[in-house]
Order: sequence, then C-alpha cells, then structure tokens
Amino acid sequence: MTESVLNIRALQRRFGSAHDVQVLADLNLDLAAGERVAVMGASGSGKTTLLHLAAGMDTPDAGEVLIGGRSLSGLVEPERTRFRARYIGLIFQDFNLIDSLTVRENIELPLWLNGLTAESARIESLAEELGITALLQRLPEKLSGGEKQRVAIARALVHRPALLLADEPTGSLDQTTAEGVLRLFDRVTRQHNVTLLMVTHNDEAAALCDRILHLRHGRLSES
Amino acid sequence: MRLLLESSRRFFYRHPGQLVLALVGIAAGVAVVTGVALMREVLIDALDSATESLSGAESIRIVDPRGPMDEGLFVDLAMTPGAPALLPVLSSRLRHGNRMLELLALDPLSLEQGGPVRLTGSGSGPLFGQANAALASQRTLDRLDLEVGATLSVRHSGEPLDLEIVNVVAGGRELDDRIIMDLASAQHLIGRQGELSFIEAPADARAWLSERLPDELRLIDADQRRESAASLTAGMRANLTAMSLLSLAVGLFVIYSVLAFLLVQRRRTIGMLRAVGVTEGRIQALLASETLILAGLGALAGLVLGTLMASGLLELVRQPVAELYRMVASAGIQPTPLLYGSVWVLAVVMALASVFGVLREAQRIPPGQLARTVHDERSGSSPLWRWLPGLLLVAGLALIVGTRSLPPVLVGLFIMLSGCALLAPMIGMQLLRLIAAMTRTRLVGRAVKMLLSSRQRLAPAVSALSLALALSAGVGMMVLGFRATVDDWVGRLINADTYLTVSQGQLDSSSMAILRDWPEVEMLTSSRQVRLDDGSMVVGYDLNPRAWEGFEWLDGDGLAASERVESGQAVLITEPMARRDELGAGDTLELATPSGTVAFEVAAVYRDYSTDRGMIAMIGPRFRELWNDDQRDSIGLYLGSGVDHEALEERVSETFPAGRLTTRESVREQTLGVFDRTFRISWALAILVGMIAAIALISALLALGLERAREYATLRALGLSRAGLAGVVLTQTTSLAAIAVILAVPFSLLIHATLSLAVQPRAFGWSLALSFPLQPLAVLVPLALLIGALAGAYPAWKIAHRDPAPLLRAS
Repeated sequence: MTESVLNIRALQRRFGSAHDVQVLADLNLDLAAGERVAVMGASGSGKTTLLHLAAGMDTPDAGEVLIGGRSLSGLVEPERTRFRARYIGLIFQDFNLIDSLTVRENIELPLWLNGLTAESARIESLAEELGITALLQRLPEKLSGGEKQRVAIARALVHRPALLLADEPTGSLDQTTAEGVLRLFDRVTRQHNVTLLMVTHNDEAAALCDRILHLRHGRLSES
Repeated sequence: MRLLLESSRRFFYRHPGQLVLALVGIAAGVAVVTGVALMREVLIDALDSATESLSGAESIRIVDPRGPMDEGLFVDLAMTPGAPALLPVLSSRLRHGNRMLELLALDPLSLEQGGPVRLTGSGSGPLFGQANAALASQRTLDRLDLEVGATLSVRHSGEPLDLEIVNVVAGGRELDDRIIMDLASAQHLIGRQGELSFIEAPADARAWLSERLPDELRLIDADQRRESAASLTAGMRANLTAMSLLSLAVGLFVIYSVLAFLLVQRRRTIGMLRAVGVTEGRIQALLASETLILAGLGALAGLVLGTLMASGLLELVRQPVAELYRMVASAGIQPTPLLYGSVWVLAVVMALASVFGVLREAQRIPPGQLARTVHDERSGSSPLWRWLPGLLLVAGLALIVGTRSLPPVLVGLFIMLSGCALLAPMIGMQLLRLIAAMTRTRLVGRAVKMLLSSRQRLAPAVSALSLALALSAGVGMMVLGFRATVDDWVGRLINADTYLTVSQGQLDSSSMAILRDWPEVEMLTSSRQVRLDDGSMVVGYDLNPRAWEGFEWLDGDGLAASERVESGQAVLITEPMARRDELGAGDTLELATPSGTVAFEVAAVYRDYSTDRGMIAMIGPRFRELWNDDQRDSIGLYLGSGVDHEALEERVSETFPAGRLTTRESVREQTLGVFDRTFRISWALAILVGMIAAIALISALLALGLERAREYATLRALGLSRAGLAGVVLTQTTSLAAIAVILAVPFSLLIHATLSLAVQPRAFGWSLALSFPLQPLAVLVPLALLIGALAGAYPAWKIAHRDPAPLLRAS
C-alpha cells in the first residue's frame, strides 16, 4: 500500500465579520506519496484557502490536516512553522522572491531555516536542472517572470519537502513562458518524485497531474 | 482635487496611528525649536522688566559704570530745585534654597511722591516701620509657597536673613522672584549703607539730568539696557541657538522620515490614481497639500509642546543666568504672536523643503504600480550628489575656521552637520555591507542584507539617529572637557588654603594687617572687584609668589608681566577681554576709573573662566589708589602646616563676627556646581533630540515593515518562525543603531571640536584645551543599541504577528 502524504478530513473554513461566508465545507482529500493532484475552481472558490490550510498558514474552523500522518491541528503555531519549513515547499503565483536577496540566497533560504546549509551543493544541481545557474548572483528584480518562477521552484524543492504546494504557478506568466515553465516543472517534479498539490485555472498545468479535482461550494469532486 | 483630498482624509481616518505618528514627529521637532526660542527671549526680555514695571518702560536710569553709587548723589539731585521725581534703587541677590531672588530696595518716600514709580496693590506704606518688611507679587509668593505674614528665609552673601512678607504687590511675570524692601532697611540689613545700584528717572528728565550729572555717571535708556542684557547673555543664547540648530537638523529628518512613510503606505493608491488618469502634478499637489496640513497642525502642536517644554526647562536657564550674570530673569516665558508665527512658518516651509525628495519619488510612481516596494533605488547617483556631503563638510569647515564672529560659525556648523547627515547613509550602507558579508550565513547577515535594499527609506533615520547621538556625545564631551579645564583652572588659581569673606561690615587693609600677624597664617592674598557698566570686571589683587604661580599665561611673558603689574603701570587681562577687544600683550588699554581715564599697558593675557565679559586685573595698591576703595571682597589665607582649622574658625569668628572661612575645596565645588548648572540645559536638549531621533527610527522601521510586508510574509510561509522574524527585525534595528553609533563617533568628535575650539571662544571668548573624555560615548553606545532594540520592539512584534496568508495572495 502506498504511503499517504496528505490527508485532509472534513475541513471547514468560514470568513466574514459574522463568520458567515463558508468557503470550505467538509472538504476531504488524500494524496499518496509521489502523487500529483491539481485543484481547479472558479475565482473565490477557496483554492488558495485550501492551500494555506494545507501549509498550516491558516487554521480551519473544523476538520484537520495531516501531513505524513501528523495532524497540524495538534501543533502550536511555532511548531507548525517549523513543520512547514521542514516538510513543505511552496510556490506562489507572484513568485514572492525576496528582492533584497540574490537568486542563490533566495534558494538557500529553506536550507538555512532547516539548518541544512551544508547541503548547499544542491543549489547548484537544482539551478542546473532549472537552467538558472547563470542567474545565481543576480537580484530578483533583474529577472523575467519565467526566470523568477524557476527560482521559486528551486527554492521550493531545495530542502526535499515531503509535499509541494503550488498556487497558480503560471498565473503571472504569458502563455509561451508559462508553457516553458510548466515543462520544466513537470520534469523536475517527476525527477524528484514530489508529492504535489497544485491549484490552478490553467488546464495545461492541471493536465500534468495524476488527478484533477474541482472545488465547488467548498467541496472537492473528481472531474 | 476635492476627491483626492477626501481620499486623503479617509486614509488618515482609517489610520489614526499614522496620523498621530506624523503629527508627533513634526511636533517634537518644532517643540524643541520653539522651546529654545522662548528661553532665549526670556534671557533678553525679562531682565529689566521688574524696574520697568515699577518706573515705566520709558524711564531712564542713572548708573555709575565703576560700581555701586554713593547715596549722597541722589540726595544732592533730589534737593536741587526743579528736580524730577527720582527713585533710588539698591539691587542685590538673595538665595532661597536653590533659587536666586532679586532684592529690589526702593525708597518709599520717593514712591509716595509719585513720578514714574508705582506700587499698585499695596502702596508702599507697609514697608515703613519694620526693618525686615518685604513685598512680593502673588506669583512670587505662590512660587515660594508663602503667604502674607510668612517669614521668608534667605541668604545674602552666605549669611541668613529673615524677611517678613507684609503685603502683596500687584504685578505680572516681571516681578517674578523679586522681593521689594525699603531702601534704608535693606541697606542696613545687607551691610550696604550709603550705596545705591542705580537711580530711576522719568524719560523727560534726560536734559535736566545731563546738565547736572558728574561726568563719570551715565544715563541709559530702556533700549540700551536691553542691548546690554542681550550682550551679557550673548554667549549663553548662542549656546542655545547652536542646540536649536542641531535640533532643527534632526527634526527635519523626522519630518522627512514620517512623510516618506506615509507615501510608502499609499504607493498602491497613488499607482491606481495615476492609472485612472490623475496627473503627476495633481499627485504632487495632493501630497504638498497634505504636507502643508500635517506640518501646519504638527507645528501648532509643536508650539504648544515647546511652550510647555520651555516652561518646564526655564529654571535650567534662569539659575545659571542668575549665578553667572547676576540677573534674575522672569520665571515665566513670554510668548509673542511674532515668535509663534515665525516658528510656525519656518516649520511649514522646512517641512515642504524636506519632502521635496518624497514628492519627486511620488512623481516617479508609474501608473498602475501596485507593489509597495521601491525598486528604483538609485545605485549610481549623479557625481554632484556623491560629492555633495564632502563639499558641505569642506564649506562648513571653511566657514568655521575662516571667520572670527559667531553667526558664521553657527551657520558653518549647520552646513557641516548637513554634510554629515548626507554622508551618514552612504558610509552606513557600506558598513552594513561589511556586516552582511561577514555574517553571510547567519540571521544577522540575512537581516542586514534585507536592510540594504531599503537604503533610501532608511537614510533619513540613519542620519537622524547618528546626528542625534553625535550631538549628545559631542555636547557631552565638550561639557566634560570644559569641566576638566575649569577644574584645572580653579585648582591652579585658587591656591590659598582658605578664604575669608564677610557678610556685613568690610574687609580692608586693617583686616589684612590683623591676619598677617596671626602665627597660623604664612601668606595672604586679597581681591576686590568692581563691575563696569559693560559687565566686565576690574579686580585689584594683592598677590604673593604662590598666587602668581596660579596664572596660566596665554600671551606675554609671565615673569616679566608680574613685575610690570607689580609696578602699577601695567594690567593683566583675561582671554575673553583680549579676544573681544582684540588686545594682546604690549597693547594699551584705556580704563575709566573714578580718578579719571588711565592708560595701562597690557602686560599679559591669562586664562580665566570666571566671566565671559572679561576682567582687568591690576595690583591692589594701584586699584585702591584709583578707586579710592580700601575694601577687600575676600582674603586668601595660606596656612602653615598643622594648623587646627576649628581653632582658626573660632579665632576668625571672634575677630570678624560676620566673617566666614571657605576652604579651597569648597570654592572648587561651588565653581563646578555653577558650571554643572549652566550646562544642565544642554544635557536636557541633547536628551530631547535623542528622543526625536528615536521617533525617526521607529517611523522608518514601520515604513520598512510595511514596505517589506510581503517579503516578511514569504519568510513566514517558508518556515521562519515568529520569533525568528522578530529576530530579523530586531537585528535590523539594532544594526541600524550600531552603524549610527559607529558614525556618531567621528561626528561627535567633529561637533565637540567645533563647539570647543570655535563656538566657545567666539561665544564666550575663552579657549578650551581639547580633550576627549570618553564617558559620553561609553554611556551612549549601549544606550543607542538599547534604543535601537526598543525602537524595533513594536515593529518586530507587529510584523511577526501579522497573518502572512492574506499578504501572499496574488495581487
């Protein structure tokens, strides 16, 4: 039996001043190790909220998130942060690179946060895989959107996370660049046997995944 | 424009914290300038207001430039047919605890006769018939916590006196800390029988008096008195002005910092406004209007705060003025619409000038830009910009070194500090790069690296903090260095074992003769001082060989000078007098004495810090001959070994019932006490400036936190804990404080050197030996780091507790 990496059980999340806008309602999801799942849905359907809950950056009103069998609900905030640093890789639509750090330093961040700076050789190998070796000493502001996202992918993978969470990884790129980044993303995530949960509007991006789920009315359904 | 202004109004309504920070920042800078301006005015305005209030602002005054006036002159004038109403006045200083009071002794008969003099509220009746009866204004009684019928215990020349408050005299601030007594009673009580300080007369009596007054007496009007007061306190006012300029420099950085922060917050809004078609000009007009409104309101608050500050700190100025210049200034500030208006306009204009850079930055926000981060930090600025700090430093230095008067030196100091302010961020960022390189893989390195990309945002804070620290340390070093110099000077000059003074009666040649016969006494010195009308002093010394050794010669051959002075043909002058009158050894000095004008050779110039008005020293016999004055103010006793001091004191009190012995150590302590009190205001202002700089730092950090919110959120998302993020922010603030400290060291030395070598000689006339006491830096370095950590505490807490998720959503 394949080991489960992510288990989401009866997840609920409400927003609004009166807590009256239900975004996620009894949502369930299981991801096996190495499995790649895309979640699609309309704007405002709760995709990013789901990702933030899975990353432990937000806390559910009910239900629980388990990563590697460990419930995030049982962790206090500092523990959740440490847990996220160690086991989760994050890719954002707006890249969210630290402008004041070079590309190399951006990629190095997760290693530093996990006390793994001895593994810095991995930066070079990932940079080579993603074709960004020549950019390592540059600052993010000098990079194109596609280059930024490749750096973000390297940063998300450098510490070998158990789970990669990607929020619209091509949402800020033009179509040609997006296609290039997707190909690279596909190759690298397969090579590293990454367990991936990706939320996207992009059909091509979703098509890279083993399963495609749709988020409607706070619940996931298979397409 | 109405819509834009409405948008601004709503922004501030929704962000009251930012509004308060902006107003506090501006108000704090303006408050220091206002406070100093008000205190400066007090030093000029209120000095003669007490007698003016009694005799009218238009009255004229008869004074004797040689010193106290003989009462016989008043009698002669008053008895002359057609004499105007005259008011004889004896003025003296009384001490009540730590407070200096002015005794104004008036002739009640003259008061009753009318003329320009009035004592409303009580009349002068109650002064009759009781030797120690005194009047005071209600404000004075309140300040002294007394009421009518109470006994006021004071000291005059160290001797206790009990005065009975018999009534209240009507009057405002001009009568603050003034005690009014009957002339004859006061003369008797303080042992100055037959003496007057001056005579007041109506302004229209000038012609009558001019015809009848002896040549050596002078008539001075209100303007001349005001001028004289202004010149007497010029040095102290210059000191305050210097501090005010330094405060203004720091205050401007606060204003810039605060307004830059507001711009950062609304970068997104401005980008959107530009996108929908609002022109650059309108955006600039909007921001300029906001600046005008904020600076206007902040400046108004600053005027109020400054007024409160001046009221609170005024005592720190009044006390040294009373001790150094023998003038009791008003106990309350006297704000005028002109002063308030000038400061307000200055603040608003300076605020607009200081945000010029911010307005340009706003102009560069492209339409539709939504990110708060500034990506256009200039890496290669124009050559002029790069050289400007150096040019300002050189220009300021040239002005300081190349001129002999004080105003250009103060301007030069301001220019030099502007250069330092511009240089600070440049050097500071290089230092940060060094720190980042040295600690690359640690939290410190990463935190500092993030700072480096916000150099424009942080530049004003670095400038303000380093300038404020430099100011505090520089002023501290100057004061301590000065103190050490004064201590050394007192130790040299005051070399008798003990000094005899009397509170009543007098010391004279017969006293010297008595003391000379005492077996305990090996040698004597004596001195007698008179004050000239320009505030300078003439002192007649009887000196022995050891006393001569106490002089430190600055110009002229000491040995030869002492021989020339002993011969009675030459005088010594102090450094302030030499500098003010441009005199040196070998020059001739014409001195108006009661025996006529006498030309003296200046034998030498010596170091002296007792009065900035200057002093002329001559040998005692010559002084007594010219002034026909055999009195001594004090006699120095050089004692043999093994003298029993208690027995000596007993013998002194038997021989001189009103005599008092003061040891050399006591004189030293009293001198240094006056010194310390003189510079308390400098310390207070330096602390205030430090507080303003802390506001600048907090404001810059909040701006940085807002600007970098998304980066901080990313770090949190990647797994940096709250504590870790707080650590990053605290490391950043402490690093800023650390580089401000490093920069403050050379800047403080520059300020110290300028104040000691240029401002002091030009303001007071004396030079200081440049020493570098390190205590201020030893205190300020840890204090600044603590300020850095404390200033970062709130932003760190706020940033670390911000929910990262909303910030990470795509724009």
